[in-house]
Amino acid sequence: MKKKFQYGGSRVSFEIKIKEKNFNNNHDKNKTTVLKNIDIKIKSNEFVCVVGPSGCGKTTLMNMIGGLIDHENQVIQHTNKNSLEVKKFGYVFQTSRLLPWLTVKENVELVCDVDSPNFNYDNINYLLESFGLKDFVNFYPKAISGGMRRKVALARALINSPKVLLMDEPFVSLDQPTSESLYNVLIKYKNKNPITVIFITHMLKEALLLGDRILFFSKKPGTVVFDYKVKTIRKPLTLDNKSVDGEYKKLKSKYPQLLEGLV
Amino acid sequence: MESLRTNAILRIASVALFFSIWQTSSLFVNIELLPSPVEVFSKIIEEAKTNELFFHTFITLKRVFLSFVIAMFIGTFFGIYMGRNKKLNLFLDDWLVLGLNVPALVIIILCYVWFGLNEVAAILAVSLNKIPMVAVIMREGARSIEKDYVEVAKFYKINKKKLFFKVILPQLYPYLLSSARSGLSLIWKIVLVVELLGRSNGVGFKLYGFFQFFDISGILAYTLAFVFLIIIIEFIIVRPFEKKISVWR
Repeated sequence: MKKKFQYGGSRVSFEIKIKEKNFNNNHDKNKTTVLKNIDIKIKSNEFVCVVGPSGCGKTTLMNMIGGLIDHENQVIQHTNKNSLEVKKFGYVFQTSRLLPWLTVKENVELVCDVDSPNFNYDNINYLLESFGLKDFVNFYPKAISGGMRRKVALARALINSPKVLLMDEPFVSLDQPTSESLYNVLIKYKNKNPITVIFITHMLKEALLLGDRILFFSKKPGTVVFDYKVKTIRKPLTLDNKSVDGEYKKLKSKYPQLLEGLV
Repeated sequence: MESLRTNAILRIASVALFFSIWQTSSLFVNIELLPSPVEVFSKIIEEAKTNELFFHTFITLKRVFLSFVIAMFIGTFFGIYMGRNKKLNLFLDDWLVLGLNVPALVIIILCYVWFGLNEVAAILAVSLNKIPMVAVIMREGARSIEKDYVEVAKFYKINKKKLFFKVILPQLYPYLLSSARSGLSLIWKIVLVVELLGRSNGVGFKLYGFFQFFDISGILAYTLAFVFLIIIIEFIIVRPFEKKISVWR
């Protein structure tokens, strides 16, 4: 039976159990196992980073949680069964995926339920303003910078006040100052609003700087090989942060094989 | 501003060259075979004065409009469905090939034979000729729909109306525009044949009359008047629409 992923209130905590996730290979009709023996428990408001080599199934995991890929017989379940609510997710994809024919504001508005009595246009303006996008609301995505586009994508993911935010390498291929300004926007939002974040990255320093916990994935078929609790102090919120640097070096020397291929 | 002026000059120069070649050629050819532009324009005025030109042009325009709307709706509907549904595409693909390859004249004759020499048969014949072409273009459009954007819509569970108008349709606009443009030019050509074969009014009917009397200036007068009308439609409706939908580019 297909299980629906649900969660409740602000105390979101859920469990992801995947025995095996296969994909049919159209070319030779063989099955490819992408994920295996996954058993993750995530606490409410936790910032969990997922790192691992390319092709280890991180995005598949994210898409399964978000419901874009069928769970099949796998269990992706909320553990706090007493307070089930309508599921509310936000997803920041690897590329911004902003619709180029819609303005910044229209892109955010697209995912809002404008017919709902709770909907308020001021929320869009307020969020865009707090993200520093006030002067760009009527711009088309092509007319704004890459960093701004990521901010709009983040605003779109947060506009419905989700309880879970899925982020799939959201700040990849941005320069350091732009990435750091986005870290600030994200962490500022998280400090004000209770939200659980699952964040895929291939940058260990980014994971150490943002995450409360890091899940290290093995090569395909991906499975969690190391569940690490981050000790870094997040001030200042920059990649040059000494605390990050120290923890990064420590991890690198302690687990060289595990961190192979990570930056 | 400078480029706008250059564009206008280029266009005017091109039209002037066309009429100059025509005028010069008419000096060397038998005047009955190729009347000069001046003569054709005076024929247009003559026909306009008797209201004949407006009456027949309006009738043809009405047929063009009706057939165009029907062909665009049906062609777009099937094109999109075929582009998105592999089984339906397989099922209807041969029909489409058949529709594309049956000569327009055959469809027109069959419609007149089966349904009689009436307006319904005329409109049906024109629409049937155009539907496969619209469907083919729209099928390509539907196939080119960006999966990533649809996935965003799917993730946020946006309603079907929003999905179609905000996510799908804007991606189809270039294809719609292309099929509308080619449609308009093809449809008016077919309408004339339909009128010539089985209607008692319209530009096609008039052309047949002029042909009987070997009146080349009449033929050219009606042709020019109708082409002028199509150009006006292009500039008043199609281009502003194109500009509006491609502003984000």
